[in-house]
Amino acid sequence: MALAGLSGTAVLGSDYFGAPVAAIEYAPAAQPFSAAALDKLIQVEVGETLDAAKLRAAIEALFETGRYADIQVDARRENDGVALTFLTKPSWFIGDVRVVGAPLPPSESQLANATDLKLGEPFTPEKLGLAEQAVRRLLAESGFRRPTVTSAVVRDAGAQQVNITFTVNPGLRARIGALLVAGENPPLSEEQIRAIGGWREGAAYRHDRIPQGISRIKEHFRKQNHRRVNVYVQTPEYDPVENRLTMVVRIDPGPKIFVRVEGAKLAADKMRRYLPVVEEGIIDDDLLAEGRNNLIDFFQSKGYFGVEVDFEVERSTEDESVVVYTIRRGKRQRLERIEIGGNSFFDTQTIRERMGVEEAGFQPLRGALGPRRGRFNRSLLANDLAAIENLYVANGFHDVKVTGRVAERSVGETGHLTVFIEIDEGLPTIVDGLATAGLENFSGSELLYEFASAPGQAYSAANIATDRDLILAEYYNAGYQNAAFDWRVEPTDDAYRVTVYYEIDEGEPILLRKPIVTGVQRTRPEIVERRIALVADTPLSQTEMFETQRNLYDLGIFSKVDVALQNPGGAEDAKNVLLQVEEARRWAVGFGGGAEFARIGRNTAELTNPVGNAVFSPRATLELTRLNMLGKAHMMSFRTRFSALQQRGLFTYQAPRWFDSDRWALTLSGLFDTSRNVNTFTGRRIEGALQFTQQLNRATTVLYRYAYRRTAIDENTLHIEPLLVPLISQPVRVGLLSATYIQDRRDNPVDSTKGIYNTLDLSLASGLWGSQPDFFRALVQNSTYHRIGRRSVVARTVQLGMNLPWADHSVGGADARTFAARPDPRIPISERYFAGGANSHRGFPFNQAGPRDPATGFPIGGGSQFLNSVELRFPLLGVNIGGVLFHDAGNVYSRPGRISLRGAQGVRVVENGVKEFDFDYMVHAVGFGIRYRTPIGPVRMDLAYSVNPPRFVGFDGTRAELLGGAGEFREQRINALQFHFSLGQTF
Amino acid sequence: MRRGFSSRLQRWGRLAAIAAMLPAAVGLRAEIIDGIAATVGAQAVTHSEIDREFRLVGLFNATAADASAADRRAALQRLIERRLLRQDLDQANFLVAAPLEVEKRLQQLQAMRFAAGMDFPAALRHYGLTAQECRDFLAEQIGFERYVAFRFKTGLDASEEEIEAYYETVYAPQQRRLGGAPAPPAEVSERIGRILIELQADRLLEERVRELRALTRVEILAPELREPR
Repeated sequence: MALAGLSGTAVLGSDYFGAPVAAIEYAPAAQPFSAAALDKLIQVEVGETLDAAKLRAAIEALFETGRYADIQVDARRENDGVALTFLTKPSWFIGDVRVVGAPLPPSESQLANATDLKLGEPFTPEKLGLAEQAVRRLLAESGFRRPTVTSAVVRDAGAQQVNITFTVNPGLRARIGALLVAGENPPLSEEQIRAIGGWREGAAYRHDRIPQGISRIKEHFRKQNHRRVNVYVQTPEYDPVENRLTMVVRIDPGPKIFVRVEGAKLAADKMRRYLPVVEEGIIDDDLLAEGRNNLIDFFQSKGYFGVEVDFEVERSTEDESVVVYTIRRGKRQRLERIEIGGNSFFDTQTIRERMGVEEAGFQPLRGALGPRRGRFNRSLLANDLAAIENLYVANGFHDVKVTGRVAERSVGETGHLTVFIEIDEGLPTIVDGLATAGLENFSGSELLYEFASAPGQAYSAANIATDRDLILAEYYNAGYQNAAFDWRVEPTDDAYRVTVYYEIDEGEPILLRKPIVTGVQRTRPEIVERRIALVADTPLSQTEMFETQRNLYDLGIFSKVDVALQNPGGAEDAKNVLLQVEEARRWAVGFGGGAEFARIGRNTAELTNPVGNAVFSPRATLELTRLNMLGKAHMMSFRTRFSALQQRGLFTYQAPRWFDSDRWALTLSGLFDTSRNVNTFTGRRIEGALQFTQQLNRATTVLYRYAYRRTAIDENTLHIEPLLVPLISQPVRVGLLSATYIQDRRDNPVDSTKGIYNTLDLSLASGLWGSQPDFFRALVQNSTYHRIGRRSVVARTVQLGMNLPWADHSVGGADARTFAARPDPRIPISERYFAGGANSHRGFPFNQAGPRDPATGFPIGGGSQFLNSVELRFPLLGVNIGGVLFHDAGNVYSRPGRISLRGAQGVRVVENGVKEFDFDYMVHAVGFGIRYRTPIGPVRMDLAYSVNPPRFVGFDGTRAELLGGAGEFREQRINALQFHFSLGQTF
Repeated sequence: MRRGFSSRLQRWGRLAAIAAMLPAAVGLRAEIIDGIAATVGAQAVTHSEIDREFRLVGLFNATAADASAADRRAALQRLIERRLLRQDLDQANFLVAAPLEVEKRLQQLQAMRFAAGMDFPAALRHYGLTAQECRDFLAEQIGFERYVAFRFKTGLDASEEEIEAYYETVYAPQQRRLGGAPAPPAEVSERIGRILIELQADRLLEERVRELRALTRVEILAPELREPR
């Protein structure tokens, strides 16, 4: 029947709907998806009847990918059907965002962050406008009130990405102008505020100076017991003519709050640390109770396990409040022992690691104020019992029972406590069987061996959670971002055995479309491309994304590497991964100043005191570094150091990843060095070296090196037998081919607590490659580190080195002397072993070990060295201060065959009662050291006592006196006590 | 009385006229048979949806499918609001209407609208709709009603004072204007209470829409559907 009052209407596009689809086209032809992907998305096929709902769904599906900003569908009649054309406009995504012309502060990075344009997110003109406003706002806050900010948007159609550059011309930074004090009866005058806040009139206005000034004003009032101070600063007026900002400051000092502690003494710094009311000035029950709990913790750590603390607000008016904490410390106690029994599944150490109750004694402390008397209270014990129970339950012991009791005995006025913990483990519930479903792309068997709930293992929620994390991590890393995990458990006939079922819904994987790199300006593209671990058309892996980011950072040429998904909200099967890099500045110049303090002999003809005197010298350094040479991530540097003790220039060219391999690196270096690090002489060394580094695996490295050096010794500084000076001071050229094998399995190279460190260095000097002396050098080191208990470490190292010359036996290679042998003269003095000091044998001053010149007593180096050190490293105070007990043994020996374990130094009387000493014996030193942990390694102080320090004959006088027969020979001895100050562990 | 927002959602038909062909909405190219009219975050509102909206409204409210530009703009705004609220609804599966509920609602509407022996299939043909489109429309409507009831009406109440004030300031004057005598307060207080709850729920719903609008980028691509300045 007819519908009254209504007129029929044609449905939009009804002329075409119902007709067969003759063709499907896209305009423009270049689309972000392949033809197959488009077919899958639109679900409309040629030949089928055109349907309005399906067409609408197609438009929605295309739009939901996020790749289109607009889609219209055009229809035309064609061959009794309808040809469809999808007219599309692409959407754009944010790519590289950079700011140029930043005034510093704020920096370009700060301004770029302020734009809030996030890598990979959809780009809109509104976002660009807001970003410009944000840049202006940050500049204004930093005192730049008349900046110009322009933006340039460069579109990369292939990547549907916009790269945006903001160009900033900040203008002049405003100055601080008038300072108006707001409020009635302001507590400070304008002058006082300027003085305290550091807001001098005419000074540059910088936003970071405002909070600094506010802090200083607050501190000013806190000293007067005003603990809730509010300081407001506004800059409402800007004078463009004078370029000055008027500051309006309002100060509300708040009431005075006095906090009193009764019943025990508490230092002011501890009140500030433990009582929040002192710091925050807010009187509310929560904060006051927090202070009470802090005090209880503090006094319990001091052994007052039964301490009680109350608080009350004694008086509270608008102007003044008084808070009183009353402490009843009670009897001082000591937790002598914790006895744990009944445990067999977990060892006692594992259980103790989960306990808050601690025994008294010399043990690692929690902070500087650790529990020397132990840590105990009833609630802490109750928590521990619950924690132990949870540990068992989490591992399948659902019937576990843990009980505790405390026994006390009095010793004098102190109560000595023993805590007994009894564990009734019961029987564990075991996984009888594990069935997995839905693991289609990762076979269950591959993962099964890693499952915590594998058959035979304990059944617990914790184990299942571990498995869930493992499975989902595998899936996420393989691109299955929507993977879901479910589980259930069913009992078996045995009450203590269950069957566990894992059900995994894998979902569809998201693939990587392609990685897109932006921000590369000077670096060669292939250098970056080779570091990308992401492979197009493979599942999108988070691990590979992070690995790529790390690889790019490892190049050392990027100050920032951001990784993000493009179009994160879009419903795409494949995503682009964006890698936005920011190249670091290529040139870096560093200046430094400092001082050297060393025990070095005087650089004069004076021969007295071969052990050396303390020498102080100012030191200046200059470093010039050029990163990313030739755009290949190579580095060139030039470092100089100048002081009275050393003048040094080092040029280095480094090519990491030589041959495009992570395993190879090339280093070229040139060195000029004049130094006095050995008492006996001042050497001038010019050296060139070529080194290849091969990383065999994570722990093993091999270095192949050729070094050619010319060493000259200033004969005026050579403190040896005068007749030998012309010979020894001859310049010598040494060409060394060497290979070094390094095996490093230490947990932390800076402060090792476990692991092993082995090195073997073999060198050959030969005339075949330009060396004047021919000799073979070997140096081998073995160090191991063993953890003792929780924080103590035993570390030991042994080092053996030798030089073996050959050829030219006429010089006197063979040494017929059986007493007080001399170093082989075929080895130049500059190539000999020198040892002693903070980093080798601590029983000696720096480089004072080994043979000495018989006439002057100065060390002349040796042909071999043997050093053995053992250290016990233990915590001393808090977490940052540790102690060390050590024993160093060894020496530098005249020749390889003269290495001896003999502990007594040989001495014999030659003519006229003059003694001759043998230096080929083992010197022992024991000592104690302190380590203070810092981010760059421990600061070290060692005091060593040498049990058998060497004696020697020295000469009091000058070289001229020695030659002239004047002066006096005198028997001397290395001081038995040696003090060393250094950075880093000894080995 | 001000018409409530939820009431508008429930009675879209009374707010819109029948959609006409959309030559303006699709630009001047007559060949364009569909396309995006507006975007709401990652979702699109198509011209054909606006067209269908008019037809559905026309079907259930017995209004013409022809519509002015203002009507089409209003229809688009309703679709945008529904898209925004869809974010909330998608997080609560229990709001989804069961097929039986939809069928029952359809029968109720047929009984009301076509009680006088009018032919429902003929009406569908007249409006260019299918029965499934009607069911989808009603399912969505039921979901929204539940959403409003669950999220906004739960815990709402009207106090005696509020009912009394409404009686004095709105109900009684309105009755007098219509020429009748207002019923005693005791007789209408329960009904006024329900109205007040509806109004409160409307306010909360509008607030939620505003929140979602602030969080979601809404862009109207078709110039003729933008609000005139």
